[in-house]
Amino acid sequence: MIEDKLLIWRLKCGSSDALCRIYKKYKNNLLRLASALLNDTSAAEDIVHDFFVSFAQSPEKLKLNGSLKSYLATCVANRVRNINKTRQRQETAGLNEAESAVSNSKRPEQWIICSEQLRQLNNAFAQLPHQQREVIILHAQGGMKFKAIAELQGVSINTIQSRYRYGLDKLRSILDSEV
Amino acid sequence: MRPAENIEKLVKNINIDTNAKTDNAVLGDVIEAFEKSKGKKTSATEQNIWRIIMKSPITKLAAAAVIIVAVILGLTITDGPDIASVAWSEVIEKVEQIPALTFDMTTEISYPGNKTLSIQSENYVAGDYGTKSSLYMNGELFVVKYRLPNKNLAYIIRPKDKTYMRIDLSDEQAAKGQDPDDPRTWLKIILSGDYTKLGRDNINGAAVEGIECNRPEMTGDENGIMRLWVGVETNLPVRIEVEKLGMEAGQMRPHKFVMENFQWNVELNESVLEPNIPNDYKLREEQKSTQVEQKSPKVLTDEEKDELLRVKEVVRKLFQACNDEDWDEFSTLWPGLKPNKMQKTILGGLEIIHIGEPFKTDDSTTWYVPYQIKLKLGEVKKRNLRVRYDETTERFIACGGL
Repeated sequence: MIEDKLLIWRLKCGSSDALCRIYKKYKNNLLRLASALLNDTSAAEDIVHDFFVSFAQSPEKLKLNGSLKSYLATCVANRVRNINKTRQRQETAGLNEAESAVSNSKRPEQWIICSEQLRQLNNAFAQLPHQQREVIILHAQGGMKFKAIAELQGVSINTIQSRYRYGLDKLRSILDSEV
Repeated sequence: MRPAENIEKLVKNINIDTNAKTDNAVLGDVIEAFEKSKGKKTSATEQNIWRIIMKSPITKLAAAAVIIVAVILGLTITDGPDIASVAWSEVIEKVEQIPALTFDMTTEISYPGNKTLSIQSENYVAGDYGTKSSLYMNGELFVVKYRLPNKNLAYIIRPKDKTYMRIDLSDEQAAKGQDPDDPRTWLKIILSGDYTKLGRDNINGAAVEGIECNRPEMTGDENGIMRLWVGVETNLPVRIEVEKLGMEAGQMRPHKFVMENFQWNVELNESVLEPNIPNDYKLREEQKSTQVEQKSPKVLTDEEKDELLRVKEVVRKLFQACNDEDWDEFSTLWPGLKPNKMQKTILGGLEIIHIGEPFKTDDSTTWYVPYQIKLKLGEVKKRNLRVRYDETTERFIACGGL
C-alpha cells in the first residue's frame, strides 16, 4: 500500500509524525490480535506497548517485503509465542496460577475497553487448539496470507488451510452452543 | 447455525475500543523511545567513524590524503567562475520548515482521438490544518474541495449546481488524505532514490536545475516519469511533473500532472480553510445515476431469468476478490484485465455496500448489474458492472463498468 510505504520511508527519515500515524492506524488491530491470541487483555496490552517501543527504537531494521499490517501482526504473534513459552515454563514451576489471577483482575488504567462481543469471541478462541487459533487470528484479523503463516508455524500451506477450516468449524459450534 | 463465512466476518470485523488517556500515554512512551534512539544513533555513528580512522595507521594516512586532495580541489574550484547549483540534499529539509504554501496544478487526461480533458486547480496546503483546492474546467470554477483532517471532515462544493457534500472522515481516512494533497509528498518520493540529472533550464525567467526518475512502486506505472525542477537561487521547487498511466472510468489512460507557481512561504491562515457554504446550497446525498441506469430494463425471458443468479455471483466474487486482494481470482473473473499496482491500491480492500438485480436493455446482450461499493480511500462508487457470456470459456465474465 502506497500510504504505508510512504509512512515507512518517512519513519526511516526520522519523522515522528509518521510513527504516530502508524501507531494510530494499527494499534487497535494489534491489540485485538494479541488479546485474541492470549485471552488476557493485560498481557496483550503489555505486548503491544513493548512492541511499539521496540519498533520505535530501531526503525532502520525494518525490511518490508509484504504489507506493513502483516509485518506488524507477525512481530506481535512472535512476542505472544515467546510469552506462551515462558508461561509454559512457569506453569511447570507452579507459578502460573498467581500471575494469572493478577493479570485477569481489573486494573485502574486499562488500555483495551472490552466489549461483551470481544470477550465472548476471545473466550471462544481460548477453547481452540493454539495452532488453529493462531491461523484464524493471523489470517482474519492480521491480514496475513496463508503462505506467510505456514512459514511462521513451519508447516505446509495445506496444513494451514486445514487448520483454518477446522478452526472456523469449531469456533462456529462453540459460538452456536453459547447462543 | 452460523455459516463459516459469517464467522469469518465476525472475526474480521470485531471492533475494539481503547482508552484515549492510555493511548496517549503509550504513544508518549513510543515517541520518547524514538527520539532517544535518534540521538544515540548519531553519536554512535560519529564515534565509530572516528575510531576506525584513529585506530589504523593506514586509514590515518588515507584520511590525511583525502583532506589534502579536498583542499587542493577546493582551491582550484574557488579560483574558477562562481556557478551556483542546487543542493538537492537540502531541498526537503527546507520545504519541511514551511507551514503553508500555495500552488497551481494542471491535470490532463488523454483520450483516444487526441482528445484531452484538462483541469486546472488552485491549491492551499497548510499541513495538519488541511487543504483547499479550487478546480476549474474551461475557465469555469466547478468544484471546491476542502480536506480538514483536524476536524475529520471533507467538503466537496459544486458552485454551478449550488450543492455540496459533507464527508465525515475516520482518523485513518483523515491521515490518508493529507499526503497526496501536499506536493512535498511527491518531492520526497522523487528524492527518495536514484535519479537522472536533467541539467539547467529556465522557468518563468528563473534558472532551474532538474532531475527525472521512475518510481513505479509509487505511480503504479512501470513507465511513469516524475520530474522535479528546483530554483538555483532559492533551492526551492519550481515545478513538479508526473506522467503516468492511471485509471479513468475503468480504463487505463495517460495522465499528466504539473504542479507549479509555488508560493512557498504564505501566511498560515485558518480562515482560508473555512468552507463558508452559502445558505441556498443544498446538501447532496447520493450520486447521480449513470446513463446505463437510466435505460429501461427489458422483460427477461425464462432462460435469462435462469441466468440471473450466475451473473450476480460473478459480480459478488469479483468484488470479494478485490476485498481479499486476490488478483488471480480477479483476472479469472475479468479475463484480459490484470490490475496494475495503482488499480490494486484503489480497488484493494473495497467494501461491498450493495449488489442489485441484474438487468438487460433492449439494445444489448450484455447484462448490467447495479452495484455500490466503498473504496478504501472512502469514495463510494455507484454504477453498473457489465457482464457477458463468454462462448470460449462457456461462462459469464465481467467486461466493464468498474
